[in-house]
Amino acid sequence: MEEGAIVNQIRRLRFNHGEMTQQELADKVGVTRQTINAIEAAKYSPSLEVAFKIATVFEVPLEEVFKYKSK
Amino acid sequence: MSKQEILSWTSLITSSSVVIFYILIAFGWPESFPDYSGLLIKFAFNAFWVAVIIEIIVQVSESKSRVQKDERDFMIEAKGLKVGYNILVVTLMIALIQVFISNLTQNFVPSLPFAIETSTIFHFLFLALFLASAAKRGTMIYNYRKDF
Repeated sequence: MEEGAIVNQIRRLRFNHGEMTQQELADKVGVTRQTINAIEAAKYSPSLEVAFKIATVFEVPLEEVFKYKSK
Repeated sequence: MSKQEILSWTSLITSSSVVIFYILIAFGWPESFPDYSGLLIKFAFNAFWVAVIIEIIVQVSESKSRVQKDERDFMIEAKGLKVGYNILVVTLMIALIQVFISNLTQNFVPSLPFAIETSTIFHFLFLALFLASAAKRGTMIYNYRKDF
């Protein structure tokens, strides 16, 4: 299977939502700040549940937060 | 540094301190080297208590409203457990084979140098337990550091 990359818009979305901090987002999603940091830096791919929770916090569809880019 | 990563460090330090104590008590200091055993025991003793105090402080100061452990922590812990388990299984297999060879040679060819005392196998298994634990914590720290 060809490997791709999951890119995200969390940083931009946080900025657009009143410059929400990573800790605030983490508290709303129910994960640690370190996990939000790792997701934002594309070093960790979250579970579907966490991905949906992040999209719900920003009130946008999932594909606006995460996109899969094949190489 | 997350709470789980701090706890991994403290656990690794306490395990290492116990291993140092055990090796020095069970085997002693090698005669061919200058005797630094007192210094090493003092260092291990201090490191052990510093790690224990840090662990207590981390446990006491935790915020109840915030998440302490999430899916990423569980995934990293699973990776550590896998490495630790594999090391433990390999060392157990080595010990079992050694016991088998020991019994075999004692019964049939007593002159062969494969026979090992039960106490040596006990030391080996005891250290294997701590090695597996240290490998688990080391793997966890590695994964936290590389931002898995």
